[in-house]
Amino acid sequence: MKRTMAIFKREFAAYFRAPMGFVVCAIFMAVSGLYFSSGVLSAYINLVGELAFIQSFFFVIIPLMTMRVFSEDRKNGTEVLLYTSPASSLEIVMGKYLAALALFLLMTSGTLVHVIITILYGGLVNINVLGAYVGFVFLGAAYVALGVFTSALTENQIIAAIISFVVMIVLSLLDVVSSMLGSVASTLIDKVNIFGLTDLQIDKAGSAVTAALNWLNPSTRTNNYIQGIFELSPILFFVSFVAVFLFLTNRVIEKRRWSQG
Amino acid sequence: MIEIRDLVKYYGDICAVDHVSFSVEEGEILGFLGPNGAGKTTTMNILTGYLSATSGTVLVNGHDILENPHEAKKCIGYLPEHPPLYLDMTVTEFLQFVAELKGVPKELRIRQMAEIMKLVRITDVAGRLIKNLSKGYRQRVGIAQALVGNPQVLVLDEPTVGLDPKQIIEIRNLIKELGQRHTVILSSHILPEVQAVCERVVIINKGKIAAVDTPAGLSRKMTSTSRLQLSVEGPSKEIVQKLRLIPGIHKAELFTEKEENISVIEVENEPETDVRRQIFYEMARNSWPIIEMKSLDPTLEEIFLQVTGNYQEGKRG
Repeated sequence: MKRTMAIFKREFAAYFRAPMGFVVCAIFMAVSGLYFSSGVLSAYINLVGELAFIQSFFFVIIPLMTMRVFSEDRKNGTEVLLYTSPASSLEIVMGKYLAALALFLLMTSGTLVHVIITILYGGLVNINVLGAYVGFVFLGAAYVALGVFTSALTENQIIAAIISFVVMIVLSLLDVVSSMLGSVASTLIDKVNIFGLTDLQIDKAGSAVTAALNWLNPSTRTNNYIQGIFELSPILFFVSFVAVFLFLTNRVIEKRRWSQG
Repeated sequence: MIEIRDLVKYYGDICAVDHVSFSVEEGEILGFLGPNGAGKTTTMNILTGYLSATSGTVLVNGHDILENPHEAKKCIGYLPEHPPLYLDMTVTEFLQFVAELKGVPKELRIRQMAEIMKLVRITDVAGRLIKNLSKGYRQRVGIAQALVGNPQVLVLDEPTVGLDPKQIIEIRNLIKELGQRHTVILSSHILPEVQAVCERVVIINKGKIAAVDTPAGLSRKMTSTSRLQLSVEGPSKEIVQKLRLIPGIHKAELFTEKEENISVIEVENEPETDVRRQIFYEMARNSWPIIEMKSLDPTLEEIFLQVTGNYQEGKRG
């Protein structure tokens, strides 16, 4: 735990030793500030909409945050220091993940200024806003884990950023693509109908594919929170999502040290 | 202190380390010598737990590096070939981080860091960013980093590469100093360095151990005879003839003739005989003044070439 803290402190401070931490925060604040001020100008403040708007920029902001997490250490040779220290690789992964997550939370807390302004001027801040924040933070935490994982894959920061960028875009497009893939699936089944299925069954199979893809999509998971409905299952989903990617990150690192290739 | 048994490491089909075994005693400075690409760095990376071995075991202070890495790594301070430094930190910040990472108790940290910085002489750059330091200072910060937590074993991989001659001497002296309190494994491809610093030498070539001995023992082993070089003023032919008559000398040859009337002669005698006195009296009787007489111990360089060369021949055969 102490070692995780040591790594956490260093990694978090490192964001602000280089310009990257400031740049990412600036992008985040610019995006949210733009939305908020246009709301103010049109006298219609929509905090839930603001978070959804920022969320659509996750695929830029989060890869920029996470691309350096492991790849920089690997490139500079500083990973030797970490892996030959008494810290276990899980402690290292946790420390680095928490540092990136802390930066994300710091940026998110910046938007609280907008909430305060809204409250001060008697704007609408209801349970939906709280729900939107909860969903926003969980989704962000999941994407940060994804970004940390891609950073462990390569020693090139740009490639790490591009991989997580592409994966996040695919995930955000999954909404649109899922119904398309569902109909593709039913057409395929129709063409090679070896089990003699009826049309109704084929349609059902297609929509099952769509449903499964939607189930896997993190960005649709927060829809109910925005309505002010607090369910447990999305939280479990996001916690598992984070756990799986951190586990995979740990495996990737261990694998590289153990591989004989 | 450290025991390496039957270490094997393959990178794909390439065998980088081939059944290497040796041990290091407590308080010893061991030189790990080999040409580039001999498997030194790989061995050190395995020894410190950075890489895994294909087979074989490493015991550090009785702890297996794979079974019990936490305890084993606590005993080791490692300076890799490229010092692992966070360039964006100041020296103090960096050492503070390493101390936290290695779990040095808070109350010890400040005192220990001050001691280390004094020992490796980086106190005057403590507040500077590492990226602004010269190569020599970075190397010292790298050594300081290895010293944090006061590990019993220091593993230094080519610590003097890329330094200027003055810095090399300073780092060597520092290593000698460290050897008084730590067990040190020092890898190098520079022979005089190992000769100057180490008590025992392991020579590795193409992943295999070619020889293990003290520097002096190696030179003894390598020469069944001892050789002398003489500079004598007088007629060269006659001098050589007279020398050949001295019992114990089985070879005397004119090496070169330098200046006027001074011949440089190489003499080989039977092992464990000392012919220097006889040579002196013989020359004195003939009134040929000896200008210079020195024994030609083989340098580690010669031994090294001999050892690695022999190995290659053996492999071909």
